[in-house]
Amino acid sequence: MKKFRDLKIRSKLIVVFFVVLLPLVIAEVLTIWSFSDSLKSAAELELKNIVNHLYHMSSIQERYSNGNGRGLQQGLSDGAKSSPDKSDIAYLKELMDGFKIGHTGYPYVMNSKGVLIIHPARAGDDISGMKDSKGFRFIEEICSNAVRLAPTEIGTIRYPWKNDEEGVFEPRMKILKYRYFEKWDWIIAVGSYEEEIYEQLVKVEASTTGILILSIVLGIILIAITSSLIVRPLISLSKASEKMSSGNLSQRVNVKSKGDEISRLASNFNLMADQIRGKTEDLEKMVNERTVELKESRETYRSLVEGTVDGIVTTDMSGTVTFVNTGMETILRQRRDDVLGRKIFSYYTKGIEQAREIMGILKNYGSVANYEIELLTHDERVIPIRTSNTLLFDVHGQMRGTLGIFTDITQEKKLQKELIETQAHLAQSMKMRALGDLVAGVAHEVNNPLMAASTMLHVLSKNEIFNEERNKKKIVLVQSCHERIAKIVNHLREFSREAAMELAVININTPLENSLMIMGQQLLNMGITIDRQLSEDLPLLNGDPNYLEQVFINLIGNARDVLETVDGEKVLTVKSFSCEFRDAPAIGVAISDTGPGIPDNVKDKIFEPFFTTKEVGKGTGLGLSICFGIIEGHHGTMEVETEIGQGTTFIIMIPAIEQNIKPD
Amino acid sequence: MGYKILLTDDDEMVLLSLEELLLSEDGFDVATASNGKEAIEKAGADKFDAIVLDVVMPGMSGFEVCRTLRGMENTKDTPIIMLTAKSADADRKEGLDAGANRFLPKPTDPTKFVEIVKEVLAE
Repeated sequence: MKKFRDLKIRSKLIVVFFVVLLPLVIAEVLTIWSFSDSLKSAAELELKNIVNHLYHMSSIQERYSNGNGRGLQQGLSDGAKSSPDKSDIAYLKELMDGFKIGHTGYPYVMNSKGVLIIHPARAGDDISGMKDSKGFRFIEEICSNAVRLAPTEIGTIRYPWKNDEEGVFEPRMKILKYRYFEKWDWIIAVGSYEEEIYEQLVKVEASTTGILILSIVLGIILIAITSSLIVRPLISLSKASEKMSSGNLSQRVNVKSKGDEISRLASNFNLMADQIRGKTEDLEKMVNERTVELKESRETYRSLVEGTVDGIVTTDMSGTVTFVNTGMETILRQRRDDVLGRKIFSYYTKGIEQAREIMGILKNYGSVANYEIELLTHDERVIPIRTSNTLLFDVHGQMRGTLGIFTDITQEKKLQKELIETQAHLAQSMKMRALGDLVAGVAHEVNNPLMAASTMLHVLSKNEIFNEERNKKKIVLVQSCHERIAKIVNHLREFSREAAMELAVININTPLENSLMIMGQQLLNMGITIDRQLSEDLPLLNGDPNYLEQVFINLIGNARDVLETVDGEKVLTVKSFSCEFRDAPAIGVAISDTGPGIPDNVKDKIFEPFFTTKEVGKGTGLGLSICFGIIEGHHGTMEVETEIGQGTTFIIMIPAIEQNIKPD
Repeated sequence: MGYKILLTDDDEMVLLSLEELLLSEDGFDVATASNGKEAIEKAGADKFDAIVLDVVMPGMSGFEVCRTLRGMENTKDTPIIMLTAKSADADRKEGLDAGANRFLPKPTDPTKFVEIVKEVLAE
């Protein structure tokens, strides 16, 4: 059951109304009840008084008409029955006609047999068989009851009666009071319709009830008006506040009354609504401004993060990738959806160990700067990376993960390697230059005494003393010594390249074929098979045919010397081909032998000047170093590939000139 | 009466050996100079049938000496043979431009040297 305070205001008012009204109604009912009771008894008392009055009048008349002395005495003593004479009856009738009870009530007399003795209209009629509207023989009942009454007792009977003559067709209750006058066998009755007797009572009841109903109705109307005066504005306030709470801030409450609490509430509400609306608008404006600023700053950061070529990755504490930018997608050649959720160390060539190492540094120093690692992409490429990492913290200062910036240093590494190579090259060139200067100096210094010595020997050889066989042999030995010294000096001078190259646009096959022609017979004599694989379709180059010829003769000569020691098949392969060198078109020459190959410890030194494996006097150790210098002079390269037991291949690559230039 | 040859070289050994070589042949009269200045002086003072010049010498180089000699009345038509340890083609060209008749690399074969000398004398 609802508590009173939870009821609606209207219900409360109704409850209050009825609580106030209930004692009123009870008081009213009680008043009417007690009032009608006394009225009833007063009315009945009147009937009773009339009956008693008529009884005493009859009694007086009886004494009067039965003579003096005897009458009173006798009457009191024996009570013998007598009968009234006509004058008695007429007198009493006249008396009785004076009584009117209500509108239609009247007194009458009948004997105990039910014969009317005094009646306004029907005197002498036997009405003993008369029935009420329900068919009850009420006269018989009266007659039988009256004779049994005590001398002073008054009988009462109620019966429904319908009197067609009166034009009333509904039965109405009649009340009848009667007393038995034994001396004359008279039943004196006074009757009337109850409603006529109680007329006043009914009027009072009706008016009281009317007033009560009126006051209830008035009360209800007042409640309705009051409640509508209070509740309606409250309802509209409540509806307005509901709408406001759902976001419609333009709600205003319109209250008709002025100056009462409700209207004050309403105007306060409107004031509050205005303020809320104003504040809300300010707030919305502020939020919009902030949203724009946020968007702009987000866009700035987004373009910063997505615009850089560096890869940017964040991970959680377990190394799971939580963010990657476009740069990282490019480095990994993988879409970010495929990278997100993977462990970052699954890309490290050194795997989780690498991640632990980085994490260790991070935890000790807070950041890792320019740490070089390698990434293994899903398409199996290994990418050198320089990475810098920091730890990420959440708002509570709790470690949340890592941020890594990955820079692809493939190009840098390549350049670095090229730089190292170039530096090595330069160092080698400078070494060679210094060596060349030294050698040239030595050659020059040796030249003069050598020339002087051999000239003097020549002069002496014409002397007769030296024509003797014994002496001639010695002179020839000295001469061959001089020749050898001269050869070394020449080699040294070639090495120092005192003679400049005469460059021309040539086909590499020309010097190759020349050198093969020069060496060919020698090779054939030694049982060496020559495998010529000269490409017909070669780009041209800018070169000195004589120098190149010298290089090829040197290489073929070396191969010849090697193959001389081989017992099995002796094959010399000379090959020319198109190739690429330093990303540009080039011409390649490969000269291979089927010799024993070059051991590693020798291979590293073969291009160094004065290094030789040949017997003393057979080689100066300058041949390959001179060849190397010549090829370098052509901006080319010379490399050796060798396998023990399989043979050795010297590969020369020289840049080609532009295609449209034709040879002279 | 033989040909008069002026040999010029800063290296005494070379000078001596070439002198001995020419003297071992018949009909040569040899004078020597150990630098360019001396060679010019001697060439100016005497009439030579041929002059041999070393290129690399302290002081004046063989090219300079050759140019100077060509400007002198005495030696403007005298055959000049240049000797050099340098064999570069540029040197050869410079030598010929300076007015040399022959250009011989060092070390020079003695037989060839004699041949060349005889050759320029015959011209």
